[in-house]
Amino acid sequence: MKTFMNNTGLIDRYLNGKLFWEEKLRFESSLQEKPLLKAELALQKKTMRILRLFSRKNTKGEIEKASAAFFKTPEGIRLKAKVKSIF
Amino acid sequence: MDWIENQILVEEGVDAKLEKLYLKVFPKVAGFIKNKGGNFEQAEDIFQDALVAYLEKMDQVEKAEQYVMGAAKNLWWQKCKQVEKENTLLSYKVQYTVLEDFYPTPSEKRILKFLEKAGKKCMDLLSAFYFEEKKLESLMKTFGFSSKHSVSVQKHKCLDKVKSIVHEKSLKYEDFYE
Repeated sequence: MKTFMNNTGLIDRYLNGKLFWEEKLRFESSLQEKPLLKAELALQKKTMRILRLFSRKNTKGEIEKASAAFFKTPEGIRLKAKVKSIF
Repeated sequence: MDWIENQILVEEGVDAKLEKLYLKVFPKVAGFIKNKGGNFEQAEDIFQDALVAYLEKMDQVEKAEQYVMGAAKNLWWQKCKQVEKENTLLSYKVQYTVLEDFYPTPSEKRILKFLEKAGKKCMDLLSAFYFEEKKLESLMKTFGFSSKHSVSVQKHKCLDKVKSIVHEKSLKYEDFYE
C-alpha cells in the first residue's frame, strides 16, 4: 500500500503541468515500466475529478441562493412569470 | 465558503453578466426544455447547471449566451440519457465535449457524500486551491494557518487523505473503475 501511494506530490505536479521537461519525460517513461505508478496516476485523476464534482456542487448551491434572491426582485418576479407562462 | 460572493459577485460586472444571462437565456432554455417535455423546475435546474459550466470556463468563453444555451442543451441530454442526436446537438458536441462528464456517476455520488462528512475541511481547502485558484496567502487567512508553508503541508496531507479514501471507497463501488 505504501509503495502504491507514495507519489502524490510528483503526480500532482505532473497533472498540473509543473514538471520540468526532463522530469516529465522520466515520469512518462516510468509509467510504461511501473504498473503501480500508472494505477496511482489513474487514482489521482479520479481524486481530482471527485474534487471537481465537490467544487461544482458548491458552486451550484451558491447559484441557487443567488437565483432565489434575484427572483425576489421586481425584474426577477417578471422574468419568473414570463418563463412560467411558457409551460 | 461563499464562492460566488468571493470570486464572482465582487468582480465588477460579473454579477450583472449573470443577471443578463438569466434575462436573455433562461427563457430560451425554458422553451427548449418545454419542447422536450420538461417542466419549469427542470428548466431552472438545467439552466443553473449550465451557469456552473459557464463559470468554470468563463475565462475561455467568448460568447457567454451561446455557451450557456449550448451547455443547457448538452446537459439536458445528459440528464435524460437520450441517445437521440439532433443537428443542434451535433454542432455543440465538438465545442462542449468537456460537459460529457458533468454529472457524477452513482458511485461518485456515494464517495462525495462520504467525503462531505469525513473530509469536509480537506475538501474545502483542496477545492479552493485547485478550482477557485486561491493563492496560499489567501488560504492561510481563510483557513487560519500560521504560514504559507503550513498551508502547503496541509494541502499535501489533505490530498493524500482524500486519495486514500477515494481508493478505499472505489474498491467498494465497482462502477468507479469502469
